[in-house]
Amino acid sequence: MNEDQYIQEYIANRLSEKQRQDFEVLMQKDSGLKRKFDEHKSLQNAFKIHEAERLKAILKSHEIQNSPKKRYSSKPVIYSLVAVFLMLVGLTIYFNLSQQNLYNQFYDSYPNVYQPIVRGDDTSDLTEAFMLYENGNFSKANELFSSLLNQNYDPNVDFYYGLSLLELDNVEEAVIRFKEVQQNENFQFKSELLWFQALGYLKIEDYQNASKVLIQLENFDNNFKSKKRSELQDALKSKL
Amino acid sequence: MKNKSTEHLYQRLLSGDESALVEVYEEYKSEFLNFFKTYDINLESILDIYQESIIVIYQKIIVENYELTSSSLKTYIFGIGKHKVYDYFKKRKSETHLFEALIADNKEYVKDEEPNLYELTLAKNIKLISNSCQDLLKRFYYRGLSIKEIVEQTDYKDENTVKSYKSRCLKKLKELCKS
Repeated sequence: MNEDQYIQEYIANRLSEKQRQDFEVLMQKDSGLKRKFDEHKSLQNAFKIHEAERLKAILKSHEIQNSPKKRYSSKPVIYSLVAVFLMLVGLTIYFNLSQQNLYNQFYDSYPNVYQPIVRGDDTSDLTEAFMLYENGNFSKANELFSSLLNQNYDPNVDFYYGLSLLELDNVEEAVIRFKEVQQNENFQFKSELLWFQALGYLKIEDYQNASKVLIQLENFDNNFKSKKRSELQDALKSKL
Repeated sequence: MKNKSTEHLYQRLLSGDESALVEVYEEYKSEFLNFFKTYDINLESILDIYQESIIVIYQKIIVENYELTSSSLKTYIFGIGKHKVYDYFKKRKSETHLFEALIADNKEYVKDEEPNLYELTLAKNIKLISNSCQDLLKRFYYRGLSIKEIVEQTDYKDENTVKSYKSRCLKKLKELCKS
């Protein structure tokens, strides 16, 4: 077992009691090993923080989607919803092979994973904008993102601005934004941006550019949505 | 483990299945909120505490391979929640002796140390490295996968490719922390 494996096994509690003790004695004697262990532990803790923020965003978004405020109890509303649902099912079947359906099949709203919304006194516009975005109020979120970008440009906020445009069905403008945003350095959502840019092109029936962007995504980050990406690439072949 | 369905849920959590995380969240939510409703905490804060408790147990399982032997999933979540509620009142300088009973019989849950500045800086900069770098480093440092396991689970050609890519990603992350 090399040092890295030994450290991993120790942290993951996969060593026997005797092996744990031996490892601890070894660390006391070998300062190099101790340094390596501390570095490993720090990286692990950093990823725990990073992942905790992402998981929190998932649970918060789940909570918002399932919050009682969104549940309607009056019968007419339920009947209307059932009618709308049935109509949608009918339409979906009818347009099964249509363009819109292909887009919907691949499109999922992207959650807020940039600006963690925490309880407390944070009433900044940035938090407000992301809170509106999380709550599905894309129109207001869009306005606030725009005003924030005018004050202080942040490509990551610009990406969410583009996403809110996509949600508002302003697809052409969203695609233009996405093209501009990816020129920036220190932009953290490049894979996600390429994915949504490709979907934007798909929606406006620009299949050639949709394919091009998917190839770009494949070259940049092969692991990102690899299954969905290749399914969409296959679906696009019949349209080119 | 108490029963088959909890065991199944535990195995899914262990494999990193995030849909299982949401299932656990729904499973104990109303009981958790109900348990703490006598305390003076608003709904938003107790939901926050509940979400954080779920994430703590999830990370204990996938990072430290925490085995639920003497305590069930529910007991452990409530245990973490009690500590977090205690900390919530402590932060607000409430009379904590009124809440000490919450953590008195709750010795199984050992709190992680607070992260240091270096770890916080690393965490902040993880967002700035590419998704594939994030993915690789996460598999190695967070999930504790060996280089061999990473090759088996991904499209990397061989162990040497993983090692050299990992070292490039790490270098990039550390450079970002310095700037």
